[in-house]
Amino acid sequence: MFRNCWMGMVFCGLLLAAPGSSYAVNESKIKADLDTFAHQYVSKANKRMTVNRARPQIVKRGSKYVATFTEIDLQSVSAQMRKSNSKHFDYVATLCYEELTFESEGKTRNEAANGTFRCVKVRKLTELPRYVKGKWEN
Amino acid sequence: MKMFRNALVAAALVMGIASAAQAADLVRKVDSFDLLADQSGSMMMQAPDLKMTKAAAAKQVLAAVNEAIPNLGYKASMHTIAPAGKVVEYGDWDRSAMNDGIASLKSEGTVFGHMTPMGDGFAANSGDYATMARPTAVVLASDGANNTGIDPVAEAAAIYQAQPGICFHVISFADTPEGQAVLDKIAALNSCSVSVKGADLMADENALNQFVADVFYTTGPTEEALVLHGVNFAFDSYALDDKAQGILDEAAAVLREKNVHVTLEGWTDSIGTDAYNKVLSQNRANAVKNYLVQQGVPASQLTAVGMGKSFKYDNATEEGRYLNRRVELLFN
Repeated sequence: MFRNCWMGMVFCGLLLAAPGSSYAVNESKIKADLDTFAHQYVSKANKRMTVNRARPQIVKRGSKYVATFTEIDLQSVSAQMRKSNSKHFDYVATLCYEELTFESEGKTRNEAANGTFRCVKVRKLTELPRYVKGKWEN
Repeated sequence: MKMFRNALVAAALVMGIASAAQAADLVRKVDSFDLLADQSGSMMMQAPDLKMTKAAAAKQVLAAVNEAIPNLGYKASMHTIAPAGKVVEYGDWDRSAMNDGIASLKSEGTVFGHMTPMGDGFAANSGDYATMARPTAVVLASDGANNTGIDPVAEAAAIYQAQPGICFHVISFADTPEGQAVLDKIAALNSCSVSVKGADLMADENALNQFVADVFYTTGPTEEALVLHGVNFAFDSYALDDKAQGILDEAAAVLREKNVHVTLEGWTDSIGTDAYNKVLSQNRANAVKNYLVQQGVPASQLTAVGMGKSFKYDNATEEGRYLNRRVELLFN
């Protein structure tokens, strides 16, 4: 009897302590989900680029041909989150990454396409994914 | 307390975006590189002008190059020719480990009977080059002299043919016209090559830094933008739905903190005529601008432009069309 009462008190104590700790655990899970989402999202965006490393766009510039393509530097991806003030989503994140444009020149289309590509432009992009109904969306 | 913490996090996020624009914008030109040192007998001969052997001078220059490379997340390795060998295993570039590798190179040795099978060295190392992240730079420090075995120019050409994304750069310690001619021919195989004289890099720090910039990184134009997806409108209208307003509330918080002009570009997917999408995108860009102004972003800070159809992403898929339907806020 006494043992049951004692266990009940411990259980009640755990219940009282639970909101703070479960909130922290929940937030770390949401952050982990954000990291997974961020990399999946950026990888998908990279794959959906019309002009890419495998299919560069080739244009004639003066007497030379220039092959160009854009891709996201997957090493540059980072994401941070915070509680949202909006009634439509619980958290909002800043997803930051760099989109790099590469160019290669050649005397022919083939030479340009198969030449060495150099980075000629960098776009530092930020997006604002939202955490809605238990999952991240953008 | 929670509000205070959220405010701190929000401020940190906004400051993070702002400071990114101010940071030095160095971008790597190559994802990986290999330092390729010629250790042949001729490199063990004295370079009278430098008062040391050519091999010792090459070590000094390679060490200085290694010191000057900015830390932009390269992968790297180090090889030798004559004899062909691997000095530093391919992996994440570690400046200190590369320095140790350079220090382990010979500065002096037997001169006679040691020819330079440069082409054979290229061939021996080409398997390793094939596995390196692209684009990749091979920085050759050599005098180009006393060749034997496979023609190095032909072998370098074969590597270019078989391995897109590779580029040979030359640091010359040639002291004969024949040696310099070989190195010049290698450099002439591809317009990507940067060719310099080792003595110039030793004498002039600016020349050294320029070589490192030409080979390893760029300070090319950098653009910064906030990209918004999910800013939806009711069908065929310019009325923002509730969720879109929530997204724009968050965007407005970012814009209010930034005291820069913003060009607001509206993009559509490829469905519909060009003329229809151009008008639609302009009207929607205007609607977004108006909403942001209502949230306290100065109207003078915003220019709305309807860009029409976007073909950046593949319009043949729903995912691609979704990515094309976006608002880009370009920070000018």
